[in-house]
Parts: sequence; structure tokens; C-alpha cells
Amino acid sequence: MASKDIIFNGVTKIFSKGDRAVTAIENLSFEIAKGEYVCILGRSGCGKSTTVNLILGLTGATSGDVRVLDTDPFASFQHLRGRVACVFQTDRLLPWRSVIDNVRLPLEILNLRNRGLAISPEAWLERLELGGTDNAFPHELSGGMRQRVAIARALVSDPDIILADEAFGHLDEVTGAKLRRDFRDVAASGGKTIVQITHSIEEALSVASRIIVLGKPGRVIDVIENVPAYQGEAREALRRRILEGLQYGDVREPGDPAVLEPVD
Amino acid sequence: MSPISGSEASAISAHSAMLDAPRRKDQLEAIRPLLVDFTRAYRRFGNVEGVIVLILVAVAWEVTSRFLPPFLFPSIGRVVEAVQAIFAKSDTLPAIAETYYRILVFLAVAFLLGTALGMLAGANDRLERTFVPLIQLKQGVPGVCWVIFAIIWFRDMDFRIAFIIIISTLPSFFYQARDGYRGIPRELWQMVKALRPTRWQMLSKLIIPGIIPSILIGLRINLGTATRVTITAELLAGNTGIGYHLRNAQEQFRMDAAIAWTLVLVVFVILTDLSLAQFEKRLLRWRQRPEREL
Repeated sequence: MASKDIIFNGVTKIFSKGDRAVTAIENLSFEIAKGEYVCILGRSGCGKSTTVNLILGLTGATSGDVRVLDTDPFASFQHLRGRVACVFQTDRLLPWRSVIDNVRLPLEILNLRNRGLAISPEAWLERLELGGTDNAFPHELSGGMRQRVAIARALVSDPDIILADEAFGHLDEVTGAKLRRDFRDVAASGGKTIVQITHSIEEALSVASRIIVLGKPGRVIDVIENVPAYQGEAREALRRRILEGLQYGDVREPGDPAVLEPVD
Repeated sequence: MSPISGSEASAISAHSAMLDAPRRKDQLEAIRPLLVDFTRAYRRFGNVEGVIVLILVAVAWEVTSRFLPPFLFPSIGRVVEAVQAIFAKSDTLPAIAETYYRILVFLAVAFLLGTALGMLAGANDRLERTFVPLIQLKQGVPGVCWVIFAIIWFRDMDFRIAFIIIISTLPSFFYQARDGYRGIPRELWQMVKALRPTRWQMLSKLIIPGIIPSILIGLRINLGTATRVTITAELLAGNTGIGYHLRNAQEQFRMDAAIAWTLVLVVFVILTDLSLAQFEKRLLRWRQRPEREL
């Protein structure tokens, strides 16, 4: 059995909004094995970004257990230094740093510089079709180019786990599709564990080996294994099944299907 | 032939304007390169309007000096002579250096202190609640009162000026740093935090670069404040520096000398501000500039 890089075991996360408690995630459980390419799919407000923050250790669970590379990412925050990287929804480039300095940021924080790197920051830029932009500032680049820089920044320190939190959703269709392909090719080539968060069924079907569908508040309503095996009509049926799951999964009434049965 | 009515005239003029439109467009296209060249030359030359206003003020001054006694309005020629006389004396340059040193060194101390306290207040609500009432209390006391307090409390001139500059400029540095800290987008905090930096790395990679635009504005504003309060302190109780020489000029009713010393100050403030502007331009070269149409 492959070792598990990420384990969520009965995780609940409740935020307080004024004097109101808001449940973002409720009893969420799933496991992601080393080297898997998993898409976590769900509608807006189903706790996808909270899931990312829990994996990154930026917030702690209200109850339940989160394990990332056998460590509690929140309690043992510094243990995962350099081992988990994230491409966020927006590029989050530091505006005062040039492109190359933005890519080097994780290396500076890890005190690595270019030592022992299989691929240098400059080579990552070349690989992501950003050659010649090293000294440009973020505002001089297009949205798609900035997101490429963010991808280079996530990959440069050679992390074990790469998260992509709706990283391509805000780009135009052509740029988004190309970037998604490039990200999959580049990120997956190193045998890394990839967790891609998305609200797009199409995106999930086109890249993932496994899809975890979340309902509202964050809980697993469906898991689809071996996604590439679904082709032709089976793929269309799968698309419908996911769509229905997302629609019904939001309704929290007795008798609603909590977890849909996998398609044979 | 019957005269043309008003409505007919406007119709004819609209028609001829319509016929002329392509021709005007061609004319505009023809002079466009000239306009572009003129605009570029104008920008290179700088603030033409400002220069014209300064020339007009100088002319008005010179004309007024012909009608009023020199102890009220000395001519520009007399002021130039006074400047030459000042720089011919051996104690002038040390006096200027002393005032400039006081302003720059004590302003730097206030800058570091105010910025550090502002960052702490930005990071910690409890510290902010501790500092803000003190700052508000200080803001309620007029600047000249602090000058009087400093004269009473401290015998040493440098202590007095350090106290006055710090107390006068610290609130502005404090607020600029606090708001700059809070203005760093949450997304950037999360991105850097996810990389698991040390505290020093967080400070050097995110916080300091993030607050620099705010604190540089504070520095430029406070340069003027520090100059004013230093001169006031030297004027009221100094025995060295530009303020002391200004007091001497006032006691001797030497308006030409007073203007000459004031000019020395103005030159200092302008030069320092220009240096800061260059520094700011270099440091903030990453900022997007609005596009300008030609």
C-alpha cells in the first residue's frame, strides 16, 4: 500500500463571524497517496480554500486530525519547511520583486540559493516560456505570465506536495487551458503529489487521476477513482453524475444521497 | 435676396463643419508629430508654470522694494549681497552644518523609533491600544509648547532639539508605519507565511518592503516639520545654528540677512527633498506608473 502524504480524519473547521459560528468544513475525511494527482472539486463556499489552508498549516482544525507527510502542519509548522508549495488563486507575486527574485523567494527563505537544485530558477522560467522576463516587475506582465511565475515559484524548491488552489480559473479560457496543461506536465513529471482545487468539472476531468467531490459545508459527497479510464459515453455519464452530486450535495435534508455510488 | 435666418445659419455652419471635418483631421494628423515633440520638450523642461510664477513673484518683490524702505523690502540685489556677505564669514558654514546635522540625525532617530512603534502597533492590537492615547495626547499639545517644555527641561541645545524633533515627527512616522503594515494584502501574508519563514525573514522579505511606500511619504512630510521646529528652537533659545543667526538678523532689523538665511534653509530643504525623491524613485521603481496620453 502506497504511503499517504495527506490524511484528513473527521476534520471540522468552524469560524466565528461576529457572534455567529460558520462551519466551513464538517467531518471531512480523505486520504491522498504519494505521487497521486487529485482534484478536489466543489462549488463556491464548500470549504475548498479552507482545506488548502489546513494542508498548508495556515490554520488549525477545530476538531479532527490533519496529517501532512506524517506531521501536523499547524502544530509542527516549521517541520514542513520547503516540503509543501502552493499556487494560489491569484498570482500573489511580491510587486517590489522582479520576476526572477519572486521565483527565488522560497530558496532565500530555505537558505538554499541555487545549491543542489536540479533545475535553477532561470531554467524554470525558460521551461514555463518566461525566458527574457527575469528582470521585469510583475505589473509589466500579463495575468497568464504572472501565474506562470507563481508556478515557477511553487516548483523551484522541489517540494514533495504541490497544491493549486483554483489557480487557473480566473484566466481566459485559452490561457487557462494552456497553463493547466503546462502545470500538469511540469508538476507531474517529477512524481510529486499534486492536489488541485477547482470548481470546474472539466478541469478536474482533464487532469486528475482521482476526483474528490465536496458538498457544503466541506464534506466528501463522492470520490471518483481512475478518472482517465472514463472515456466517451462513460465520461459523459461521469460528468452528469458529478454535476448532480454538486447540486444535491448542497441540500442537507434527510433522504438526500450523501455519497453517490461509483460508476462501474 | 432675403436675409438668412438663425436656424438656416446654424444649419449652414453645421454642414460646412461636416465638410471641413476630414480636412481638420488631416491637419491634426499633420501637426501631430509637432505636438508630440512639443509635449516631450515641455516635460523635459519641467514645471514651466511654476517657473513663471516664481519670476512674477521676483518681479513683484523688486517693484515693491522701490517703494518701501530696505528694512521691510530689500531689493533682490541687496539680498544677493547679504548672501555673499554671509558666506564670506568663517562661522557661516559651521552654523549651517550644525543645523543640517541636527535636522537629519534627529529626524533619522525619530524615523526609526516611530516606524518601529508603528509596526508593533500594526502587528499587535494591545500595543496599539497602549500607544495611541499617548500619541493623541501629544497631538493635542501645540508644537510651540513642546519647544518651551524642551527649553525648560533640558540645558543642552542638542537635547532640546532632539526632543522637539522626535516629539513633533514621531506620530506621523507611527501612523504611516502602522497603516503601511496593515495595508499589506492578506494574500501576500499567507503566501509568504506558507513558505514558513523565520521572523527576521518575514520582516525583511515582506513587512519592510511592504511599508516602504508609506514611510517614505512620512519622511518627506516630516523633513519640513523637522526643519521648522529646529529653526524655532534655535531661534528661541539657540546660541548656534541658522535659527540663531535669523534671530540676530531680526534683532538688527536686517531683512536682507533674514532673507539670505531663509534662502539657505530653503535650498537645504529643496536639495534634501530632491535627494529623497530620487531615493524614493529608485526604491519604488517597481510601482506601476499611470499611462499618459501624448
